[in-house]
Formats: sequence, structure tokens, C-alpha cells
Amino acid sequence: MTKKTDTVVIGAGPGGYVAAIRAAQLGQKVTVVEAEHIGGVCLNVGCIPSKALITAGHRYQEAQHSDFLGLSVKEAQLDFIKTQQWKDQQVVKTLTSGVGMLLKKNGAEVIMGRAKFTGPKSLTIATKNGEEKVEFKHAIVATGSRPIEIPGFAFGGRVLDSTGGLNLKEIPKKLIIIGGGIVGSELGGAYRNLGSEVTIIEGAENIVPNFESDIQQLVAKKFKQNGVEIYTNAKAKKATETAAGVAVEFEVKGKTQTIEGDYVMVTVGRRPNTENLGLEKAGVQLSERNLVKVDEQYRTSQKSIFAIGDIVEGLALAHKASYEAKVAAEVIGGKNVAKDYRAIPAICFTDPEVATVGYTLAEAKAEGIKAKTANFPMQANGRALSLNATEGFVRLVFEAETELVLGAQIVGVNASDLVAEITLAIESYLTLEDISLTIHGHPTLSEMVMDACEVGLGLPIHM
Amino acid sequence: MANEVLMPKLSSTMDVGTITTWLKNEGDPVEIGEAIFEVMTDKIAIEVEAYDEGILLKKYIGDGDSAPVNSVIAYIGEAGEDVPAEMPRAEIEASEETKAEEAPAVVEPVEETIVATTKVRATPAARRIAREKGIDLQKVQGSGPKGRVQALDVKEYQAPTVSKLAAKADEGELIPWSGMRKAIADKMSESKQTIPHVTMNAEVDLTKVIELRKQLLPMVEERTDERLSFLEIISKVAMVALKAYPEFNAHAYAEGIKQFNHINLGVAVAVADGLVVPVVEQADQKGLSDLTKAVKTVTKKAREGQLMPAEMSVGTFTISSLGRSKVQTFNPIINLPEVAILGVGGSYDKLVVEDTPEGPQVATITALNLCLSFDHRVADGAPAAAFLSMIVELLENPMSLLL
Repeated sequence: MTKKTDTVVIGAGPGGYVAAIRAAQLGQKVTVVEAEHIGGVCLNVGCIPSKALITAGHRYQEAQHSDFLGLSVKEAQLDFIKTQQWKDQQVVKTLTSGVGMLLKKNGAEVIMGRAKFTGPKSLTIATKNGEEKVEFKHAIVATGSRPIEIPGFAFGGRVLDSTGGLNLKEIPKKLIIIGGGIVGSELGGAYRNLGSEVTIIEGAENIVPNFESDIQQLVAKKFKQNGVEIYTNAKAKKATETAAGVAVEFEVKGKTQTIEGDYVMVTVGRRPNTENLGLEKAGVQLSERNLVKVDEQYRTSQKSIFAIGDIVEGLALAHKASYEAKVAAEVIGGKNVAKDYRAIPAICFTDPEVATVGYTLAEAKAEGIKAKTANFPMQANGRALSLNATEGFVRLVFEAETELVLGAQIVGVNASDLVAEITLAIESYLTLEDISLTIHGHPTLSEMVMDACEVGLGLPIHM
Repeated sequence: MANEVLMPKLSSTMDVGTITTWLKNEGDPVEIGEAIFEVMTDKIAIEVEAYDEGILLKKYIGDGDSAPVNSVIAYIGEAGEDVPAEMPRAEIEASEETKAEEAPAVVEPVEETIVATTKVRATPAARRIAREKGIDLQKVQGSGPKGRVQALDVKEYQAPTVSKLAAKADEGELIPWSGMRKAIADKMSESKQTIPHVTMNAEVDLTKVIELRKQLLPMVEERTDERLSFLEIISKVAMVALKAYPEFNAHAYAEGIKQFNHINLGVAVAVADGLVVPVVEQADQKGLSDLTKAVKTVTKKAREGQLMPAEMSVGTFTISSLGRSKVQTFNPIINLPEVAILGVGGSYDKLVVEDTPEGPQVATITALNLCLSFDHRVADGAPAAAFLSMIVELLENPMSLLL
């Protein structure tokens, strides 16, 4: 029997589930097809669980290092099994079952299985109980991405991808990480805080290479202070399982070295999940990098099929996928909308936390914009002091003449939340003055955004 | 070289002209003296003739579009000649009252010229609504700080469009402001909003004027072929009174009041699609027969749309008559920048008690009301009342005109 529906959404991650809910809100009969778990990588084996481990790491460190304010703990004990249970049951499961409820509440049907297009308006779903056929008017492909496997490091055993790294049963004594990007650096920091010895092997000149060099150096400096070993300009060759663990061979400046650890985790990037979907049968074209080509409404070369998230151009970020999901669903729902954003924030939960949005000074100048920056240090903020977190800064990039806010780089405690205000400012074309005339609650970290604007205006109160 | 076609200045108050219709298309041959377009001034539509012959090479504005006077609106030349692709900047006439910075190079509705940046400073919600509704954000005037376009600005921008009004009322047709209607609307609003109007009404016993008209009618007709009407007699009397009260023969400007020695008499004339006020220049210099001829001539031309620019120059005092109607009084709106206007109501029969040698007797007279609106910034109630009273007394005793 063939099921008929209005809109099929393939994938229930932060792209797919958002698309499904919005399409249902706009009156579409929606069917969601999910191959693994509701919530996708983000909720199950990505953003959310890694934040849980990072929190555990911070608590463990604070328990051991709060003597300065008079708190001494004789011996902090960490039961990692319990940490993992909390992460899986209290955090991940709460969220994923919440998403399941939301889909249900909005009337979207969920089918667990793998979808494969058989034409521009039809697909089959391979489920536990056999094959289902679905005919649809529109489809949104939101199948996301998966970790890249590199030669010499076949996943399995003691060679982990990020998912494996998140689900370890014990804290490794020694963890080797290939790839010091955002994921590798976040998990490396978390395991270091949880007590592992951590080595990061990065191919580029510095870790977290997407950020500006002063930010890279701040993160690297903190890693070194915490005893994380970092090899940069390094090429990972191969991993060999040993009796006690795994030996990793890598090359730096033509010299091959081998180090041993309990596990090696490979976090060198992600690859779009665009294979085995029957996209060619549906008439959906891919780019040379296996991304789906879409227009500004996220419509593919097949007009009944849309694609969003990690499988289309741009950074593989959950919040980008969710934005695109809403646009695609609204287009299907009959609205004349399209991609129209000025900036996407990028966040890295290392120590210190890093969040950026919009232009860097160099990027602005490269585009011929006469831009300036304004800096405000965390140590001049009362709340940062009272949090014992005075490391970092808020840096604003603004157009010199108009004082329009163009971008920001924030390093330090809760940078991830602080960036939201500046993203709103950029999106709404606010000027430094608009923000400085906005009353910011005291004492909060958010006051630094206001203070940085006043620095830019040449009228700083707190500097 | 191709010759410029300029927006003509057709009256002393005309800053901007609106093309009502082009009579020639690009590529059409044009002869000297041939009408090439019709332009709506602040008063009336006039056909404009070509000064050069050749091909109409380029038109920079379309039907219904406006341009400042003396701006280049078209080129006439030989086929194939190069002309600028864009409308050349207007050369602003350096007359004493025209300030260059006030005169826009290209006249568009004001709200369409504020946002100049290619990337419009607009909030995300405003951008989305604009896309959904197909509104060009460049055209929306932002109400946010430094002109930022907010969602509400975009929502309100659509308010004047036909679709929204139609949706609300579901009946009736929206007629956009244009041409003479627009000129009248602007002028009336400006006058009523800037001038503190006071209107005084006074009744006139027409008995003696009726007798006078009876006697003069054949004389005037013999000289001019025109029939003398009460309007000309009232005009003549009003002009005599204006000599005694010159403060009402004046213009009011922001800088001050300008009184005139002579009277350019404006006569409001209803025409098919609106109202025009042709002017009889130096009307105070004319006798009743010449005045009759002049008033009849401009009135007729106005109704036929044949007024010459000189006949639409600025008046110094205006008369507006509803003499053939049942309206007894009304509050005329002053014809800016003049300071007074005399309304003439319809005549009516009235019972009065007259003193006769036989004692009081009831009699029927014909009367009408004069309605004087004046600018209270310029003059006060007492002189206005005296001025209006003088007109009434002169009309009730027309022999005194000879004194």
C-alpha cells in the first residue's frame, strides 16, 4: 500500500524536525522519516551531549580548585558511569522525547527507517517491518552529515569518531585527538577537565583554525596551562591497536613520531549524507563536493524537493539548519520567503569559550568596508569578576562612518550567550549608539556589549 | 546637437509641472509649433508646443510624472543623435524666491527619495514582509533610528495601495490623486492649514442694484456683446472698497505682508473636472463694461480649457460666486497667498417692513449674502467688518459710487 502525504521530511535532526513542525503548522500533512534517532546528531551525539560532558568537566575542576575562595574538597570523586547516565537520561533523552512530543503535537507522523527516492514525488522507506512506499507533493531532505574517516584510522575498536568519544564507559587515561577544530578542541578540553591526559594533533598552524589568530592563541595557551599537549602542522599517518591501547603515528616537520593512548578520536570534519538516497532518481543535482545545489528558497534542481542543513552549502551548524528548515517549510506552505540573513553565529565551548558572528576586521577590510574595532576586557566587568572568570574580551567590528555593528568576536565565560545580542544588532542594522542607549541589567556579562559600544563611540565609562 | 525640451514655467507660482499626456512618442517627427505634451500646472492643463523641429529622441518622464520647471524632460534632434540616458539634473532658475537647495532635481513623492543606500537598513521582519508583499525596500521610509525600516513601516507602506483598500471596502474604485484634483487638494489643504480663516456674512438688499443693472445692461451689451451680471457689479464695488481697505488686497508670506497698488481680480470658475481661478489683471483700471468683457472672457476660456498663462497669473483678491444656487452663505477658502476672498451667495426673496409715508408696510425685496473670509494674521475683525460693510452700503446705494 502506498501512503500519500503532502510533505515528507527526511531526517529528524535540528533541520528536519523544525521543518516538519513548521510545515505542519502551516497546514501540511507531514511525514518524517528518521533512520537513527529523533533529534539527529545534534541532540543525540553532538552539540547537546558534548555540552553535558563539558559541564561535568567544569564541575570536577571547580570541586578541586576552589580553595581560593575558601572551598576545599578533600577528594573529589567522579563516577563516570553516573556522568554518562545523567547525560543520556536527563539531558539527551529529555530533549529527544520532547522533540518526539512536539512532532506528535503538531500532527507530524514519524516513520523510523531509511528513505530512498524512487522519483520526484515518490520514495520508499526501509523499516524494521519491511518496505513502505510514500507519495508526496514536496520533500525536504535534511539528512545531515557524518564524521570523515581518514586513511589509517578506520573507525572501530579504539579508533573513535566523535560519537564514540562521547559515549566512552570510562575516562581514558590518555586520549589522542586527531583534528583540533571545534569538536576536537571541545571534547579534548572536556576530557582533560575530567582527568585524561590529552594530546591534540592538528594539521593546520594552530588549533581552532576558523578563528582569528589571537583567539587561537588564547585557546592554545589555556590548553597548555591545563597540560594538554598540542602538535600543529602535523599529519596523522595511522593508528595501530596495541595490547594496552592504541599507537598513533604522525609526522611533524618531516619527522615521524608515535605516541600511545587508550583511545584515539578522529574529529577532522564532516561529510554530507547525500549517498544512497536515490537523489539521482528524483532529479536532484549535487555539486562536486557532494552537496545538494539549492536556490535561495532551498529548492533543489527538482522543484518538488528541498534540501537544508549540512547537505547544502555553508557551515555545518545546527542553528543554520533550523533557519533553513523554516524557510523551506514556509515556501512549501505557500509563503513567499527566502534566505535573508546577514550573520550566523559560530560558537566553540572550549576554555575559554569563543563565539563569533559577522565580520572580522580583516574580512571587512577585504570587502572594502572602512571598519574599526572596539574592545572591552572581561576583567573590567563586575559579573565576570564575581564568576572568577576574567579571561577574555568582547570585540566589536563596526563600520567607521555609520557605526553600524558588523561583527563580533567574544572570548570568555558565556560568550555563547553574549553573541546573541550582537547577532540581533547586526541583523537589525543597529549602530553602536543603539546598543549603548539600551539599558543593560547589572551586574551582568551583557554589560560588556554596551561597554564595548561605548569604547567604539569614544565615550567608555568603565575603561 | 539635439535640443532640450524643458518643463515650461507657465505661471509665476509654478515650481513643478505634471505631464498629463504626451502627444508624441519617442521617434515621432515633430514640427515647430506642434503640441508635444500637455502639462498640468498648479492651476490648469496646457498643451506645450515644440520650439524645434526634428525627431522626439528621448522622453525622461512619462504620463502622470512630474518634473521641476526648467528641467530637461525630453530631447528633439536628428535621428540617431546621442542623448543622455538619464534625465539631466535640473538647472534651477536663480530667481529670488527659488532657493536652489529646496528644489529637488527630480521630483518624486518625498517618501520615495529618503533611502539612498543600495543595502537598505531594515530589520529582519521588515525585510521578510517586503519580500512577501513584493515591496521595494528602497521605497519605504524607515521610522526607526537613523531611518531604519521597521516591520510596521513596510506594513503601512502598502496602506495606500489599491489592493488593501479594496479588501477593506470590497466596493468602490480608488482614484489616485492626479492632475487638477491633486493641485486643488494640495492648495486647499495648505491654505486651510496655514491660514487662520475668519468668515463674516452680511446681507445685501439688491433692490437698487437690480435697478442699476436694468439700466446698464443694454449699454454694456451694446459695447461688448456681453450681458452684465451681478457678479461684475459686486466685483466693481468690492474693488472700490479695496482702495479704502488695501490690507485686503495683499499677499501674506512667511516673511511678511505685501500690499498691492493695483488689483488683479481672481474669479473662481467651476470647470468640468475641478476649479480654476483665472485672473483679470489690473481689474481696478477697468470700467464696468471692460470689466464685464474681461470677466466673461476669462470665465469662458476657463470652461473651455483655453486659458493663456497670463490669464492664470497670481490674483491679489478673489471673488467666488454661487450666485445661481440656493446656497445663501458659505465659508470660502482663501486663495493662497491672497489674504481675503469674497463669497457671493445665491439671491433670495425676503419680506421686509418698509417705512413709507403711509406708515410701515410689508414689502418683498431680493437679497443675497456676501461672505468674506480673511486671514486673521494679516487683518483683524474690525477693519474686515468695516470693509464688508462698505461693500454692502455701496451696493445698497450704488449712486454713491459716483461720489
